[in-house]
Amino acid sequence: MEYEELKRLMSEQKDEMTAAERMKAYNAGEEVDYIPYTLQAPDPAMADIFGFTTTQFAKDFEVKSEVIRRRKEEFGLDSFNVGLGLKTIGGALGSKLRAPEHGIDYVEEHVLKDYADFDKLEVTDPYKNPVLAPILESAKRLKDRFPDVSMTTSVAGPISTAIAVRPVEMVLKDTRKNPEMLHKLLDLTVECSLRWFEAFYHEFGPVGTNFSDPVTCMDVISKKQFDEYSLPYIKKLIDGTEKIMGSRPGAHICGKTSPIWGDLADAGLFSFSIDNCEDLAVAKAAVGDRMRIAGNVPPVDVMKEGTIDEVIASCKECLEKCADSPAGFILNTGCQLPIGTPKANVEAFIYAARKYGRGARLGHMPKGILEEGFEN
Amino acid sequence: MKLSQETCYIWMKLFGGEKSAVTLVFPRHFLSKYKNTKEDDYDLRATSGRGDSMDIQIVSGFLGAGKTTFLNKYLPLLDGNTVVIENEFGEVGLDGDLIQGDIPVKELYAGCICCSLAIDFRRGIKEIVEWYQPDRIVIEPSGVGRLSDIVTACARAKVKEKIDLRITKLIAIVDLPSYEEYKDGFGAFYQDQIQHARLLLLSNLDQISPEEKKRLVNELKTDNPKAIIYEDDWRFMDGEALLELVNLAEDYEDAPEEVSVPALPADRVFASIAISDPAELTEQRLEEILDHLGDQQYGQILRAKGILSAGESGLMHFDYTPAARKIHTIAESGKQEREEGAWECKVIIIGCDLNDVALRSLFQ
Repeated sequence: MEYEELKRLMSEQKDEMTAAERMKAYNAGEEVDYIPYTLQAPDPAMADIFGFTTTQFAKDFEVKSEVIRRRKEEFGLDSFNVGLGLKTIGGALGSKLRAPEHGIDYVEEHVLKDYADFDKLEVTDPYKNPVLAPILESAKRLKDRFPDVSMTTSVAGPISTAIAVRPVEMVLKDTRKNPEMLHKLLDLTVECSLRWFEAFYHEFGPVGTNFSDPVTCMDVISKKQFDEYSLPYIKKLIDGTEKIMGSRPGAHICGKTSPIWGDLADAGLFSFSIDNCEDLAVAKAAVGDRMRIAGNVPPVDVMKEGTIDEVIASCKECLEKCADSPAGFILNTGCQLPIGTPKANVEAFIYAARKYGRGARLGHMPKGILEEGFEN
Repeated sequence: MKLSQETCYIWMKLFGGEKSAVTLVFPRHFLSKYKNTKEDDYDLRATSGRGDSMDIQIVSGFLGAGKTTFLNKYLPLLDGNTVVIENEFGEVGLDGDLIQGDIPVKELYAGCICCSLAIDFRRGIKEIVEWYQPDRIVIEPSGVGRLSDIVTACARAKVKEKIDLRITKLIAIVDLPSYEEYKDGFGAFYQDQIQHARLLLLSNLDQISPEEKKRLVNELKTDNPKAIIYEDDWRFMDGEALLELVNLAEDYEDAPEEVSVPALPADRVFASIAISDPAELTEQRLEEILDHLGDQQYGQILRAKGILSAGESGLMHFDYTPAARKIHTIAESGKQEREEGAWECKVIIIGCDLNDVALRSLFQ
């Protein structure tokens, strides 16, 4: 369909609930106007859509406010996340980060190339650390600016944080050659993450939390490595988060994860955002009764490079496969929304969520799918 | 006339979560080792590209396998203009004489392996092509990158960005003593590198016994029966022999799904011999030697080539495969080049189960 047609159809759709109302009713098992949806880590792509660079978004409070305001107004995304990225704790511990003007930051130099330096690393204090303190400060200002918009926070998973402190190949080698020090490093990363959540709780009370853990996929580590070096620390992070916030976190893990779904559910993960390389129907059958599932419209092939019709078809397919998952479903992208995603495709995603996710209820297929034709 | 080589090094990280990259370009590194070729002249340099398409080669391997050592050895052997895409910013150890001052020109962003990587990688390749029109790009992906992902990303660059490229050599360097441990311990990326390679080079061979080496090579053969495995220490390999070996490995795009080179033996564990001081021979004697290279006693020779002195007649070069052989006398003009040391007399032989002593005695 053409963009004008999409806009016309969208103008006929009405939001009956705010995102917070929708989620609350959905969790209570009530029927909601349409399925809850989100876009994975959309800030860089949103900044791009609204004409800002990622650096402007990160550094300029007014730009950040403008993006938050417009994404609520134009896309109905009425919550925002002020969290730590994949490398933030690495940077806070002393790794040298570099952020291009418009793009994703990266580690230029890792702080821990030699474990002889390990004792120099200390658990980071979000109030005093020069990398973390400004982020916390920015969260306070944003909350003042948007008191009615719900704010969440996030960290990176333990082993993903570790590779921002020590190069990934060394960390993988440590699993064979230096397990003792790697355990210490992983312990430190979880301590740093929990300290962040504590500070957030102290400032804002209980908020929703999640973590991204791209290294914990079976493309990078084996199940054996996961069992020994990732799962115990994920468990510690989940338990620690629940103790601080009173609720369990969600997580996103890129890549192949089916062998660890059961472990993640056992560890108490509340929701799991699944990469588009995995099948939602399989995930629903395996762990849908124990964990909320989110996913998994392909970010590159569909969201960035697909047509409006392809975005709609992909959203519909996700809903058909998983919207009746017993512990709930969130329509999401399979990984981070890429910079360069066209505005029209974000709108098509929302249009499809409203159309096919209409009349959603926990554990049931939405009326939108049932009435618009169920294809699978 | 000297041949110039312009080599650009581009660092980008190709690993999940580490979204990054930086570009550094090192202009005009001149290679003057070999004479430029005329049509009838013989040139030991190898070219693996075909037609006008840009050649893409990928060199993978985990930390400690020796990728940087390999590139330091391999890159100076290549003719034409080469751009190198490296994985890790700031962690590259390419030799100083390959790098003559860095000029940042363009930033490339590589997203995580499952999302933005493909886009940024494609765009990166496109920009390299537009700015440098190189003859070839050599990619050294992150040690935890999947070789098949990089191949897919390159193939998509070809289709989506309409870049005239050919994916040719897929090389994996394997730390052989650690092979079983890593295979067992790491995620799918490790086996992906081994199983998708068309040429496997082995490292750290001095750390294991010959029996252990044999056992591990057999395991590698089981895991990738189609790849050529070079069984000796490639670090000590003669440069031209290394190029020949790379050329023997099948180009990815000749058979994207399956390796199928009928000319190569079923047992693809190769060795090489370089004879740096071959004896002066007559053309007739050289012909006799080449007639006997197929004899069983010498092993299974797949490729031999070299330059020899023919005494007063000047120089001869020869080129041998089991199916064909050629001997050329190098033209009069070659004499002067020879006196200037531009041409070096040398013979290289690649094959399986080579009888080193017998082959050396043929040429020495």
